[in-house]
Parts: sequence; structure tokens; C-alpha cells
Amino acid sequence: LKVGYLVLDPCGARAALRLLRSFPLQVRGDAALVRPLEQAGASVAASPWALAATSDVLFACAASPQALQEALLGADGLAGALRQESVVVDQGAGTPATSAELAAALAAKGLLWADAPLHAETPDPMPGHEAVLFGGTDEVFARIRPLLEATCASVLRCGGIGMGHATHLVTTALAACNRLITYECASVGFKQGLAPQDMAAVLNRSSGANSASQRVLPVIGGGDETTRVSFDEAVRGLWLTSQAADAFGSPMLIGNLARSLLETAANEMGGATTLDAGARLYEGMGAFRFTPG
Amino acid sequence: MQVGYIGLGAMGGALARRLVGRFPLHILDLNRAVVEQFLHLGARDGNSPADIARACDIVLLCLPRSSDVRQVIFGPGGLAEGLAAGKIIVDQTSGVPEETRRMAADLADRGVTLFDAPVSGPMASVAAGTISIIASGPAAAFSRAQPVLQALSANVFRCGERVGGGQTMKSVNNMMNASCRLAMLELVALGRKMGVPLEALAQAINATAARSSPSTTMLPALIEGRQATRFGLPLMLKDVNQALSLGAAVDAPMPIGNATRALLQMGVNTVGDGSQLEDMVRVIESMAATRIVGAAA
Repeated sequence: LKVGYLVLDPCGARAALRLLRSFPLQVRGDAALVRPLEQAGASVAASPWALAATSDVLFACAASPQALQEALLGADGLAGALRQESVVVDQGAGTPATSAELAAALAAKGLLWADAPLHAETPDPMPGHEAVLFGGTDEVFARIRPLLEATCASVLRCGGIGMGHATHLVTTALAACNRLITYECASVGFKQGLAPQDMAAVLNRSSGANSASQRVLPVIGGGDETTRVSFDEAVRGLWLTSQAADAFGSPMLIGNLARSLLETAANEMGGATTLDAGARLYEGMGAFRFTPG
Repeated sequence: MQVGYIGLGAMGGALARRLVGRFPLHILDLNRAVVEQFLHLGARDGNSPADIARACDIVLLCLPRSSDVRQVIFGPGGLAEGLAAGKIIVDQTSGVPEETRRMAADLADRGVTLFDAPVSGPMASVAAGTISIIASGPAAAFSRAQPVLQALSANVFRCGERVGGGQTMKSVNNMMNASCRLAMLELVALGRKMGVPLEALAQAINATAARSSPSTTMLPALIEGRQATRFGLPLMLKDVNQALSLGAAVDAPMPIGNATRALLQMGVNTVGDGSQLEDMVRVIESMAATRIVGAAA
């Protein structure tokens, strides 16, 4: 089974690096993202078309569903180079509608599809905080399962085509909400005189616990890295969730607020800054500085 | 050590029960039927706050609000009339930290120490002796009260010397719980409308950074058709309002907290004063015109 990875976005770089630890991998895409993969042992295809032509399974991760559609089905799109019965696995963000549209277009060319985004915030595994969210058929799942398990120990089936993306929209938005809620509540506690370590000790044994209170709160103000996800990446994901909410007529009061806060953070600190700087957003808004201990 | 407990409502009563048989216990409550139950178990009738203060070394309080605590301490026949230097009052009320600090300062002149030790957790954890007790106050008084607090629960935390810190921590905790819960429900509603089964959403949320205490308790309960929480919605609204007041007092912006408050207020307005936190599932379903449980629209 020849495996290729079209790396057009940082989320793909994280997944490809994990895949590379268990399988020989050929890559192509954004030069800055491909270089570390090459240094880690990936072979670099001569061109995107060469990558597609030699892959039984082509993983892809682009900045948007539209960018992936352009890469696969635009002028000189890679779909033309893929062999019949090859599988395209989208690990980027998408909506049920964009997944269904892409899957149908590829099926017309004899190609198979799965949406299997990796919800993970770090290149290294973080068990209990990440999963591959698979949407697609039983047949495709059986074919690519070992590959998915190489990127994450937790591989979850969410339903048919598009359901992996739909579930990913929910989990990424909710993870962002958890993080911002933790910063916001910690800022009140801190300004009221509570130490972050005391808050972490109590909250993580109480009903206010969440993934961010467990990972982020204990190191708040200390400069430790808890994520590689940038503000830009998070905002793009939340925009897709907002669009899906709009398309499906589902109010998203807190989710949209989280997106606006992250957009503010991106504007103030730069889109490439990681979500860990979300603490600085609340520090700036509240005119204070978290100190550990 | 003679121990007093005033306020035997749902939470206070459950906590006081853990002290029966472990300490000589003097109790007091406006509900005579509850008092009779405790007397039957071997507790002693406290008669009045002043009498309890005279008889006990430590008096615990669990009352609806801080204004009730002030009345029980400083009102006619209140604790203050019977307190002597060296005695300790432990306030387990979900009260207002600033008001608790004022009362502690008023009592300090008499050599009496008051510190706060509210609880956080489901009712079932009280009987199990595992509910979180979040204390804050002077180390010496905390140390003396430790045997009593440990009899209430194995999970006793102390958040520094400053009285009111426990109540602040509880407000922060409840705000985090409410905000994470409502964010989860609105996104689960979206997921259901997009066609994802509730079981798949629960699995994915609880396997990733989307996880929270509400998601790990509420989503499995919804799938299994059982109630996940037994917490009054107006009570949660009160707690969230208090957290917002704490934020406002120190100029801490709380954009998500305010949205959470608005959603809870909508819930209380539409479902009514008898509403439960659990009813927010129906409120969010109605807002999204879908079903979280069962077949989605």
C-alpha cells in the first residue's frame, strides 16, 4: 500500500509526522511544511501529480475545502492523476456539504473518499485529548484503518461521508470554547486573589473541570506550550462551524463569541501566534498579568 | 469537640448527617420536621443560635444567602450573643465573598474566627463523603476545624488565607460548569442537525479537547435516558450572576459568562421558577429547532 500526503496546511503536517513514524510516506505540498517531514524521513515526490499517480491512499490537508477542491478538481487537478479505486482521505476541515460534493465528484472518476480529520493540537500524541474522526464507508474504513491508527490511537467512526467533518466542526469549536472559558474564569479568580495552582487543584476535582483546565490552567502564566494550533487555524475552523450553523439554522451564541474573541487575538498578536497566547488576550482585556504559583 | 450545624436544607442537612455519631452535634433549622429527624438520630436541639454558640466549639452554617448568615450571627438571639474568644464559625453557604469577609472582620474583634468552606459537587457525593469542600481562611482555625471537615468529606481543599476565597472558587467553578455545558449543548444541537448520531458526538467530544465535566456526565445520561443533574436552574443563574459580580468588582471582562447568563435567564423565563439545569437541553433544542435526544429534525 503506497501512501502519499498532500500537505497544504499545518494540521496536515502534524498528522503526516505521526503517520511517518509507522509507514513509509511520500509527501508534497507547501515547501515550509514539507521540509521538516523530509528531515524526519519522508520522501518528497517530484510533483503533486507524481505524488497522486503513485499513491494508493492520498491523504490531504488544505486550509479550506475550497482549496482542496481546487487542488483535486481544478485545472490540472490531481484527481486526473490518481489511479482508479485510490482513496482520498481529507484530514483538513470541511462541512457535510463540501465533503458530499467532493466525494461525489471523485466517485464519478472512480475514486473513493473519506473525511478523517485529526483533532489534535500537538505533533506528539496526547492521549485522552485527541481523536481521528472518520466519516465514510465500511469498505474504505477497513482499507485505511491501520493508517489512521498510526496518526492517533483513538479512531472514531462518526457515520457516513461528511460525518467526520461534521463532528470535527463540533469538537474543534468546543475545544476553543473550553479554552477561552478557562482563561475567562481564571482571570476572575486570579484578580480576586486565587492562585492558578489552587484553582487547578480544585477545579480539576470539581464540576468545572474541562480539557483546558486540566492542560492549560496548571501552566498558565508560565510560558509552557500546550498547543501548536494558531489563532488563524482556529478562526478558520470556527468560521466553518459558523457557516454550518448558518446553513443548518442552528444558533451558536457561545461558539460565535469564541470566534470573535480569537479573531481579536489574531488581530492583536498575529494570526500565526498559537492559542496559548489566548491568556494574553484576557490579560490585555482585564489589565493584569497571570503569574504562576 | 462540640459541633453545631445551622441550616439543614437539602445540602446542609446532607452534610450535617455525616456528623451525626461522629461528634456531639447541636442542630438548628426553621423546619421543625427536619429538626425532629435529626433528634431521632441522636443530635441535640440547639434551641437558638446563641445557645448553639455557647455550647459548641465550632459552628457550621449552610444557609440560602449571606444576608441569612448575617442575620443568624448578628440578629436577635444570634450566634454573636453566645460566642466567646477562640470559637470558630465555618460558613458553608454559597455566599458573597466580600460580605463573608466583612462578617469575619466583625467577629475578629471578639477573638472569633469565621472562614468559608462551601461545597461543590453532586448531592450523591455528600453521602459518599467525596464532595469537594473549598475552604479559605486562617491556617490555625482551618487546622482546628480539619477533623470536622474531614468527617464531611475526604476532598477538602484550602485556597489560601483570605476569607471568601472558597466562595470565589465555587463561583468560578460554577461559571465554568455552566459555560462549558451550554457551549456543549449548542454545538451538540448543531451536530445533530448536521446528521451526526448523539452517540458519535458524545464519543468524539469525550475523547478530545472538547471534553468537560458536563460532557462526561450529561451526554452519557442523555443517551441512556436518565437524568444527569439535580440542580435548580434559578440556583445556577444565581451562581452565575454572582460570578459576574465578582468579575465586575475587579474589572474582569466576561463576554462568554454574560452570554451564559443570558441563556440561563432565557431558560428560567421560559421554563419557570421550578426549572432544573437539565431543562436547558429542551431550551437549546427549542432554539435550534431540533432534538438532541432521539431523531433530530
